[in-house]
Amino acid sequence: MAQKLPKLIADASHDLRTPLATIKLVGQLMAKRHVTKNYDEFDAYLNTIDRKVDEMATIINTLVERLIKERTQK
Amino acid sequence: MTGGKIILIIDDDETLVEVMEMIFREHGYDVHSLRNGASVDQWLATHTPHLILIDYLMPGMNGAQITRHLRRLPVTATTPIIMLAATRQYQEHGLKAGVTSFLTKPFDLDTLLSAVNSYLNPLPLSAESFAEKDNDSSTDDGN
Repeated sequence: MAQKLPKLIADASHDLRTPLATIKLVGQLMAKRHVTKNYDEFDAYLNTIDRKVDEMATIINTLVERLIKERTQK
Repeated sequence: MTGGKIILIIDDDETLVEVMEMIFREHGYDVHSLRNGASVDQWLATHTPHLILIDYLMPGMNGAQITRHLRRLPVTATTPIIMLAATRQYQEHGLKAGVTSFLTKPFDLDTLLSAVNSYLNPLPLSAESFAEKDNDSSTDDGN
């Protein structure tokens, strides 16, 4: 049971970094569009950021629940 | 010059793939994507990628297993493969499988483009750039 913990954290780290990568790229795209005053797709970008933040919150909640379960099973 | 250069993205995250596709297309690349490694052979039957971006954790085969498979195929034996890996452990697996380089999520837009351009669109060393370098050196010497 104890050996599962590092993989759980490694996978959660990877799972969290994926939406984080999207948020970072979209944020930087918005910054570049702002320079050229191209705001055509800003609503879609903001929606993407909102969805990805929710996705990260879900991953964190799942991770916490699984860690609590691991500890109570020991 | 990026025209005609084909980038294959293998990643199961639809949104991240869509964002990367948009970025690469805006820079003139021909971008294709697969959500996992299951259909890679079928795709390679009709395409030859100049560069492959591959995630590590995916349903089915992981990025290292797909890379190992790609390295056995003549069409992708020497193709640059950039792995999107989050941890050192995944990077070690990727390296053993034959990955060319890594990007750690989250990465900068400029870092992503630089990594891809370094393989597909390397900056030529012009006579002007050498001249500028010489001028810089002479200025430095003067100080």
